[in-house]
Amino acid sequence: MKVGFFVPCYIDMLAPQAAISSYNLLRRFPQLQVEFIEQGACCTLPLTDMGYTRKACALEKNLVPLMLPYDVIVVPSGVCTDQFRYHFDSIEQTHEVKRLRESVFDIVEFLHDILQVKELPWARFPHRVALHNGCHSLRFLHQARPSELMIPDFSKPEALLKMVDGLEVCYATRRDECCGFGGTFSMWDAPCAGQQGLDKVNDYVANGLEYVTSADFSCLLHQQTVARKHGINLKMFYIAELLNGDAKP
Amino acid sequence: MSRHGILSAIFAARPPKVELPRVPDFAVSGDPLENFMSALASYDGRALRFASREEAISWLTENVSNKEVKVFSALRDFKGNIDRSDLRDPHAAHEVAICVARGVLGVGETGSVWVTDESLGVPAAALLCTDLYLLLRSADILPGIHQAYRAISMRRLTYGSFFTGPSATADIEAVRVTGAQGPVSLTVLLY
Amino acid sequence: MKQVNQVKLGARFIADTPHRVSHDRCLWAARMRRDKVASEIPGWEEMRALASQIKRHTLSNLDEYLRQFEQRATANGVHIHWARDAEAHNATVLRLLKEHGATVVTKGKSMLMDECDMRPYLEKNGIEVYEADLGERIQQLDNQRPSHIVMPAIHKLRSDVAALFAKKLGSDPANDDPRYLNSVMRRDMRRNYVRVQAGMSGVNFAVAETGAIVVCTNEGNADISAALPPLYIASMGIEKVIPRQCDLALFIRLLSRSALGLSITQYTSHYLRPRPGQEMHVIIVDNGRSRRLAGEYWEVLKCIRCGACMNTCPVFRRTSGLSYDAPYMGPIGIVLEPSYNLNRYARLPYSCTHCGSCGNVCPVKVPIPELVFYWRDLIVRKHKDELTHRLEEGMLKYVLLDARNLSLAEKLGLWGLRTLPESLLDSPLNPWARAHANPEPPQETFRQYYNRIHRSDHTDS
Repeated sequence: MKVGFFVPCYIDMLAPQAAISSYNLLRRFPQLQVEFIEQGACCTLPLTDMGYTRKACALEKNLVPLMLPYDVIVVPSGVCTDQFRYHFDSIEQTHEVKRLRESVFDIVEFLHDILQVKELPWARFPHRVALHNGCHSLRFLHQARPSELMIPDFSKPEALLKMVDGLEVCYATRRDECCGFGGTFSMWDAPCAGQQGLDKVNDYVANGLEYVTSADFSCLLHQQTVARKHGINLKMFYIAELLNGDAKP
Repeated sequence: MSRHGILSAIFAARPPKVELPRVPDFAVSGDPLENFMSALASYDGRALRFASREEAISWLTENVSNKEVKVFSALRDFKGNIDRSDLRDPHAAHEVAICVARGVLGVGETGSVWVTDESLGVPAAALLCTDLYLLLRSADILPGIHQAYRAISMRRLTYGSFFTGPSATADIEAVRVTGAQGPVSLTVLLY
Repeated sequence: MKQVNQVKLGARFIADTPHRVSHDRCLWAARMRRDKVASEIPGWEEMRALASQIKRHTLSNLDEYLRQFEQRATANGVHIHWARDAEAHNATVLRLLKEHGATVVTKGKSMLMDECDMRPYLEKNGIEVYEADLGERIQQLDNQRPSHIVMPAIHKLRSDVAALFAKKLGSDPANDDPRYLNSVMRRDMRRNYVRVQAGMSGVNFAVAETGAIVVCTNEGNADISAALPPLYIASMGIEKVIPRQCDLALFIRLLSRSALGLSITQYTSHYLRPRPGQEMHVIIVDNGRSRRLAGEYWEVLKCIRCGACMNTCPVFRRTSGLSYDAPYMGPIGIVLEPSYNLNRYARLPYSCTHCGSCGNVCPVKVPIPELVFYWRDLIVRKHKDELTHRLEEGMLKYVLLDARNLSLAEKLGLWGLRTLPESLLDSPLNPWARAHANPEPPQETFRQYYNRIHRSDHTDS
């Protein structure tokens, strides 16, 4: 299977470890030929987020030829996957574009649904870890049951994390309340984003949790820097860091 | 001609047609009577059970008749001390302290009692009194809201309501307080 | 008209810790109760899907159902009026009151009457209007609009209410027990009920099949307002009609569970006819709704005003409803208000983290998260000439357009993080620094890592 590895802009710049762990994790599976899409730049999410839907067109046009050569595209970020799947629609929806949009997966979905991974023998992290499901992974990519929906319980990231030796999956008391990142929201409405972030990290602290993981590093970046601003010490890992055995306590 | 203007604006704006779905009867598990008692209690209502209507009436006679307050009754077999003719102007109902009336049917799912203008006699009395007593046949408790609406006919009705516990509010810091505008207590006498 | 700055107004509430904490706690508790009661009955998601479909069906045949409702209600002896806008609605109410010589009015909660600014209009015309819902009455006495469509004074602490009642109703300022405060309200309202000459209320549902209007309250205030005086006036938006009584069952089961986590409201009341000696009037109001029906965002008209979206919204719970400075607030407010006044409410659709929770709790599946994007897109297009938009757009487009520009921007950004002094990084020029510490710059980007590994791969072979 030919896998295109797409690295979102914010991951590349501010959380390269998330991409490095994801890339190396994918390379562990011999059936995959993994290629980094070097010319890939941005999934156009910030434009949609602010309302510049029409302007996303030029960016989308640039991306399509870069992504077409692959069977699947794997993205280490839930929000960006959501963007490709549900909002990559400023350009003409040709057969190719439609197929492309269907072939984009977040790394959690790829491991859980496509590869159907059953064990991760190289991964060990004998600690209690808070799992924060980013809103887009949770409510738009349907990676787990959001607490609002009265449907049978399931959680793809939790199922993967349970394969990590010794890791105990825990949650904040308000387990899936938004942490306030919200893309441009965190700057547009800094007072509210900051309060939401502080409430979230205080919730971890109240539950005695020191490690936090998520399939959306954007949330973690927000939570971590809010925590640091308030002198709260929490260690945040992108989920692939734990799944690939890279996370150090 | 606002009527014509509005209706034609709506007609012009109608979104694509969608079918009207059938609404199934969603089942309610458990015994309707037991559900009714526990649901009513959760709304701060009180349920008393009697072997017969006569027993319920004699309980009322012992516990309600001797009160030195204005009692209005909509029942034929229980008399209050204020008459329907005294309440021809419903404003006068603010003097009623105790109101006794009939429930038409009960709803197990919610602990509600369906009452009508006819079963209440004077709705204003049931709304302004301090203590409301409703007589209800246990056999008339239906499992849920779906079944209740199927059993209820709106024909000839002026007013019909599901009363569920006494009047209540949670408007101040979400603290639940009973006796907001209407009755402070509701007792359902089941027989 | 000035644009509403929800961010600025909300920031004040956020800074007021006791109010914010109480507000957030009360509404989150309502959301938790909603989860509990929704999980306790089978078929919740099926019910939501059905309710959504019934609403869509009704809206796609709205003129027919309104005609049917009108015909049944008229046959029942109810007077039906039609009002194209708020002015027509208010004028109709005033005319009816004058015809009956009514100057003292008690009213149940009605979002529509608030939307029409009816109360100030009537008061200006010599009518005494008393809100009969405790929360709404508190807001009336405080000269504020409701901050929540189901719990109008939920942004207030009990101490605020105690102070307000002491000032306006002469109660004990030192007693802030909600039970005592409720008794103060009860006593005060009884004085008004004795002399009330006309009662008013909103409408939760109007049933086309029977001509019934249904009003749901917990206090019974609408019932009292309807039961005492010789004149009862109810106002409804055109979207309140539903086809059948069996549909009503579904909506009643969803409404209060979604709103407050209760299986039903204490008074779920049906008005079909005037009682002997009474006149009953129903005013059917458009006020922009038929225009909304024609818009791409027509599904906002499915809303049954339960307030569940507000209870779950992380922004609303921390900023409170008054910060939206509009009749409708919270998630439904930010996708509804721009349709009343795009310029005034152009900022509201940005008061959203796009977490999607509102869409999941909505009992009729109003696609609020998608509508947020719809409005943002429209607002950008309408204000395309504004300099800030042009700048943002130009910069973003340039930076994000291709990988070389992006990697240059990243290098620049990381260089900045590594070398610029703290004083500059934490200055107001950096919007990130207002709520966050700056991120710690990594040793190398993924691109740099990849190139390094790639090169060593080549050397190995």
